Amino acid sequence: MNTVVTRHSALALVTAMLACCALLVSSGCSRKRETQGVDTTVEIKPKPADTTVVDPTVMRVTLRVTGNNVELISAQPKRGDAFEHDLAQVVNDALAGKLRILQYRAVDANGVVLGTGRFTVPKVAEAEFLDPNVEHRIVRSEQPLTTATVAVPVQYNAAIAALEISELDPTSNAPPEQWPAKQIGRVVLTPPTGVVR
Amino acid sequence: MNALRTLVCVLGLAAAGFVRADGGEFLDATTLLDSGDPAQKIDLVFLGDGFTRDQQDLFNAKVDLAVHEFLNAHPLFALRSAFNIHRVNVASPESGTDKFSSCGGESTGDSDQQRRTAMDSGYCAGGGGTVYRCMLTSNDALALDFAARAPDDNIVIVLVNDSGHGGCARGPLTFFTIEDDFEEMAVHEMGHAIFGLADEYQYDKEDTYTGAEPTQPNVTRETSRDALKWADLLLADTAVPTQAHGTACSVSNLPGRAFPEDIIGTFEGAQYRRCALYRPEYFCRMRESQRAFCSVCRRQIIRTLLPKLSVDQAIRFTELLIRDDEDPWPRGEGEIYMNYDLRSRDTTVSGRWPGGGESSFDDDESKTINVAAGIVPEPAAGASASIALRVREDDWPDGDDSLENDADEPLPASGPFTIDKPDYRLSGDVQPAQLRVLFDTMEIKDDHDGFFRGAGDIYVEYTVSNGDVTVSGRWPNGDDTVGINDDETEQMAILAAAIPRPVGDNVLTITTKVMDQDTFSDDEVGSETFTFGGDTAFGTTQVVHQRDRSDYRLTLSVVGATQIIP
Repeated sequence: MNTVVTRHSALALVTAMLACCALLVSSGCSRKRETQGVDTTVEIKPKPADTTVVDPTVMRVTLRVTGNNVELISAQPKRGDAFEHDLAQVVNDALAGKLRILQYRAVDANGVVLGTGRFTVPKVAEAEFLDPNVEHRIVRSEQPLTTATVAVPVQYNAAIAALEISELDPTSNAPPEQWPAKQIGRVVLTPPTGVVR
Repeated sequence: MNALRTLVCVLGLAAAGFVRADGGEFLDATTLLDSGDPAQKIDLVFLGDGFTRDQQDLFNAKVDLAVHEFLNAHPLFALRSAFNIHRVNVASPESGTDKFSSCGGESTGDSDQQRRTAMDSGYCAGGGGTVYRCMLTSNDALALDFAARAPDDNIVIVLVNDSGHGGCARGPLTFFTIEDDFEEMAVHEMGHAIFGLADEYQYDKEDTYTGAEPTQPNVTRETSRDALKWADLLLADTAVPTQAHGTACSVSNLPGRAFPEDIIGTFEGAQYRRCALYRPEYFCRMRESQRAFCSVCRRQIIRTLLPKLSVDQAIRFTELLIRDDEDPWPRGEGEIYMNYDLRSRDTTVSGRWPGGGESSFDDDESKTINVAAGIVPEPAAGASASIALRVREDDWPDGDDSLENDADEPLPASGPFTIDKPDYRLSGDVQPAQLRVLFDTMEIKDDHDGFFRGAGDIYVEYTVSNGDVTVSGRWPNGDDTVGINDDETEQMAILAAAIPRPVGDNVLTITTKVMDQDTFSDDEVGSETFTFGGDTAFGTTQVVHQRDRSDYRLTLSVVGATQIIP
């Protein structure tokens, strides 16, 4: 409900209200409001991280990729998961040359394929930082990378002996699922000898 | 030495306290938020570089700042059970980071400075780059190796001990300096890394986009309403494009905001381009890091996190009986309030009922209260949540009186509970938090405040019901109000309720009453009832809902679903 108030009547009302408030305060009373709902705060207590691995779900394989050279940095059984964006979400970045889409085949000692998966390797680092002197406060630029190290969560299988690494060719006109793959490396996980081209 | 190091790394058996050749020393790993099995959660890991052993408290404080900003960002605070968060403490031999007087052949204004640090971070991409403000490392394997000390590491954030402007991301690994407000940028960066969101800002130059439709959910080149990725969120009378530069694309200062902040449409200027790319709202965290996420980004966040959510426990207080208010003089109405702590896993939700003031009870009087007391994580296997309760009677001047007795009791995994003490009895229940109702924004068109035109003292009373379970609440908490001018949008950003999905023929109803507080009699701005059938695709296709009324516009989100991990 809108009320039209003239300047005169407003002043009179303010004066009356102030007088009322003074009276209420001086008499030790105030208007009590019981409000609905609750007022809450949340506290989370830190604790030592539990790094014991029971029933591993992934082999966390750290790879350094430089051109067509793939180097094994480490391989560690973990209880974890793969968290990656859909291929469709990274297609444009691949086509723009910002990242490479690689795929692996996990094989056992006899070459039997135990699993496959895809991962991305950045070709640029994106610099974003605050600058209060510019509009929107964010400044961005791209830093080309010649080498990148990535941690790849490979679905765990105790029999995995090696990963065969291929690169998908994003320049093809075919849909991403049909992009041709070119093998660029093979890394042996056991025994732990590191790089194998 | 290298062979030995490789062997140790490959086996993943580096002993605690192992000092790397690079000088970094692993100290310990701490879990700051434990929501469950790393195989089902998104695990964030914070590392520090250039923090010496004596500077670990500084690092811990900066991590706390970033985690607080992240977990309290709307709507992440209602979805935190999708995450585990870990901190890995690493001591660097020296404090700080590498700086360079030139980078890519250009002078930087800094003096050369070399620091021996655990992850060998530095400006200019660690030293060999061309972008000076790209804070990175020349050897990212160092950071990934330390991150592996956490239970899992989907996203790795390295805080670098320097206060200059600097940050750089490559995939899920991001480096930041600890400059002022770095935590805002940390949340913005997680918008990219976790949710696949695009930047919504443009460069300050004429630049027209000519490429394909972006794959990110929050930017588009579409000018056809029906083809928009977020077409379902537009109000019927919102034009597309909503705000375009047109011939103004090349002027030095683009026109400012011409629509209310909460209008969802297409606003030209996004993803580094001034023209021919559009964003969904005028403001967003992906455009300005100190802002809230826009509706389309919130929807993407919710959709991404749904498969990772746990079924948290929603605790409701339904009825309070006061047998004796412990107020000897004068006999009669007691001014009652309760303080409580709800505990599960490592989380404590502390609260007070009523949110503001006290509630008057005669002796032996019972009241139905139906308030959402809080949400706690589902307990670990074999454990249960618990409640500590302290019921008081407000008294003056000799201090408040305690009702007999304080309680500290376990809560059931599901179903009703009663805390029965000599002076009071509190009834309530524990329900699976399958549906979460979030209030996003409130636009006030006319606050109905006829006296003193200007900011209305707005509050909202609401009830949420699935037909079986009803909860009531108020925004803002306590007896506060929010000053909102006419034609102004306020971020509400609250989890209003968490209740089970409606079953059978029941529906979800959300009733809101928007009020303007007045000295003598509060004014009603408007009332609304939202109804959702039990077959609504909560959280998947239907997430964000906006209701536009003559005097206000309310935006809310309903999260929930069958995808929640049982």
